[in-house]
Amino acid sequence: MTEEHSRRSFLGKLLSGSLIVGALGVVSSVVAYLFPPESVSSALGPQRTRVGKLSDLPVGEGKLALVNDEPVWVVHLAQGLVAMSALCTHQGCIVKWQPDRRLFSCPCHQGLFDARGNVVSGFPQMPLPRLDVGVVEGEVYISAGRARA
Amino acid sequence: MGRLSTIVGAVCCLLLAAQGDAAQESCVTCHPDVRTEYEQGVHHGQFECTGCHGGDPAALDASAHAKEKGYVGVPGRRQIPALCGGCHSDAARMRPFGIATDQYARYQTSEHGIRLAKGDDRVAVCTDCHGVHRILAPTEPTSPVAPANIPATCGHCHSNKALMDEYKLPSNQHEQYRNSVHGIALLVEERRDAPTCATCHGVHGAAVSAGQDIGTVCGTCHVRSLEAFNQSPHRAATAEGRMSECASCHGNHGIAHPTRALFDTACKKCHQADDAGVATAARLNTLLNQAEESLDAADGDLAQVSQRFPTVVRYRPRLQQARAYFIEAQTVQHSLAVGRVEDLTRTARSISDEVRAAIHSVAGGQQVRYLGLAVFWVFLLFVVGVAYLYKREQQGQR
Amino acid sequence: MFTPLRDVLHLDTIRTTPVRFRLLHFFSAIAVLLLVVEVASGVLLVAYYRPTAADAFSSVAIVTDEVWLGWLIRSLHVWCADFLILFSFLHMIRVYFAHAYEAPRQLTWVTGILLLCVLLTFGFTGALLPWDQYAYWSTEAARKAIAAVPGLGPVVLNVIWGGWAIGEEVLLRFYVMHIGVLPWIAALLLWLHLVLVWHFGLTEPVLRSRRYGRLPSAFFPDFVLNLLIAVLLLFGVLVSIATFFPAALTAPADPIKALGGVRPRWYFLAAGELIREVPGKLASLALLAAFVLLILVPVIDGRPDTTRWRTVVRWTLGALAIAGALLLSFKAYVT
Repeated sequence: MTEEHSRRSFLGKLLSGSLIVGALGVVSSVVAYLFPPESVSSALGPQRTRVGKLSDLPVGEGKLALVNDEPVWVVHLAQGLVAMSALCTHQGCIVKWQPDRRLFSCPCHQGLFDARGNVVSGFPQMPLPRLDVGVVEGEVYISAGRARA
Repeated sequence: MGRLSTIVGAVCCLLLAAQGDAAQESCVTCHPDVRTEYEQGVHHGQFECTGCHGGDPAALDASAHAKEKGYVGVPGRRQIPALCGGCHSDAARMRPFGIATDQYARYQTSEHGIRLAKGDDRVAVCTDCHGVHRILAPTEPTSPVAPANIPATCGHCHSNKALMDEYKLPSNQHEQYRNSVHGIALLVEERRDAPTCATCHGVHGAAVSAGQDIGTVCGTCHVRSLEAFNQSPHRAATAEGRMSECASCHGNHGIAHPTRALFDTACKKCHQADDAGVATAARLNTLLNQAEESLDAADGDLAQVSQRFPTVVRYRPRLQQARAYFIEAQTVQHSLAVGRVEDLTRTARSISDEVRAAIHSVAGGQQVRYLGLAVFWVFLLFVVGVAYLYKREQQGQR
Repeated sequence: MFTPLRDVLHLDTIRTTPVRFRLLHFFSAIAVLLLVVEVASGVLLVAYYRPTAADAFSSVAIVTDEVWLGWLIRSLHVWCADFLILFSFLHMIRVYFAHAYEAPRQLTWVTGILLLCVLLTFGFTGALLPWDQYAYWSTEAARKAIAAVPGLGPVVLNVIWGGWAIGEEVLLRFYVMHIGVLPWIAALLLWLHLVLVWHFGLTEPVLRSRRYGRLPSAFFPDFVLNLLIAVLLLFGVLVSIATFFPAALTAPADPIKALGGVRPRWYFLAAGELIREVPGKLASLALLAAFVLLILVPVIDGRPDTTRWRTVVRWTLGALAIAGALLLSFKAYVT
């Protein structure tokens, strides 16, 4: 009788113990689930990417930044800041801003774009897509959406 | 003969100047079909029939054709360039329209103009390309000199084998061009910037380019390729007249999209099988092949893995960067500088390998899941077993 | 340690019948378990889901790829939805053939049918949320089918749908229904249903087994431990299915690139086919008639004393209805 009883109570303790372990596993999985991954914090979080300080970007110069894993040029013109995709609209090579010529030049086939992204010469047929750029407290930010202008 | 043409041109100009408001001339009474045509053209409203043909614009009978009134009839072919040039070379007259005035001068330097001056009137004159009465601006899509129509317009004569044989000229250029990469760009993809016959041969001063002129022509668009070519040993070969720059390897009219098969076919034209040039070609071929294979493999991996793990598509921009280095290498190869091509292809390969590794590590997560499932089942079966035994014990008690 | 729990919940006793809990009774128990998993996984998914046309797809993609066990939560949610509806149907069929809806349990049946309808609406609204090509175009096909039902269709579209073509507004409305409105209705109906079941207890099965006549079984340990084992095994099966057949995510929704050959979920195939087969106004009548008949089954046949003849009729009608539904579904599936 006692043997049965002790066997039963052992089994009972074993059962409740393993159920508790299982429950702990489920709870810790849920907690791990709720820790947001990197891309949630960046992609679905604030819709802007910091480029740098405005004071580090003299007039006429440009800076290459990564927005949503895509290269983007930010150029400080006399009229203000412009941001546009750095991918040439011909075959996607990364264009270079040449401050002395005030042009974006593509190293692949010498496609040329002006400071507003319009095609000057070469094979590209579409202008460089523009993005919204702004300055908040001296810091230059690019918003994740595409500009319409 | 030239002097006569000039005189005729001057006379017609005077006649034109004498025109007032070019309203209805009597010619259209007997020639109504011509009127319809003419009214669609650009000259309508500037001058009418008598501007080129002379005659009496008021008479309604055969006296309209009076020679005293300057009736010329159908101008002879040899007179036509001077006739048109009478106005179109007059800078003061053309100024309000903003049209250039060098067409006649250029024409006289062209093959067509030179032969015409020598008395051959089977060559093209203004009306052959621009039309006779219904002359449209080149920006109009139906104009025979609209960019998309130029190959057909030139081909009118230049595809006529009987005619071209007499000049000992080939007659397959139009056919070749239509199937070439430029022809497809112009005629199928309808790109406005694709080169037509006139782009390379000149518009009014049409002539065949040769030797070093070819690179200059191609290099107007293919800037980087020409830059690279000028840094290669082939530059000297061209200067010595042993090759014709771009056309030696790529052809002139039937330019196909270059593939690496060119390494096998083009180099052989001048190089022996065992010389240094062929070895360089083989090396470049290998480098470019390796880079392209690596890029294509990465693209394939991305497409396949993205079905299960959708967020790997964010690696696509990085792969695009890798491909950009490869594209640059394809242009730089014209310099035959193996070192520079090697640098570029190595960079392309290393980026694509890095992306492939990242993609594979994401895909490897599937294996981890199966392992986790197995561990989970072990634990589960343990708990089930314990519960079953416990139940048996409880039931046995009752 | 668990003794006080047993006393509080009166787990030692059952209310009425000396009936052993048969295997068939487990359909409803499994359905409840599936509901629990569904709700839990749904609540977890809400933490990352974005109900906007711009972000919905990428938020689901991120849950699937980046979040720890996100793929499991999502696959569980998708599979449990299908299984939940399947087991609810099976439970309903079991109750029908067992004549368990007889007086005084008519209201239990009615709440059950309403609950089933709520579950179907859950499935429908949830299908649009990933905002991928399948989600968009299957909902678009459903919209066309509903709009084609004269009279009833436009009413449904305007009241529940908002009447708009599928876009941001519809997505938000479906989302609000899916997590904000339907859960409350389902909870209320389920509570009513369970309270009624608990109050009246389980009926005797029509087919009695040889083992009938043994001691009355207790809720604890028999039912509870059996349930625990069933729950664990079922959970294991669910997780395995979710691992081997993860929920699909096609390309992001493109409103101008139609997806050919898109079929609605399996539980809507019969209704869709019925609308297609029956011409004009009869379609809405047919659907309405089917629903009303189903709800009023206990009113039509609620007498507790059942004769052999009534049993035969009931079984025949039931078999015919099931066969009809299966045939319609099959026909919809292959065309």
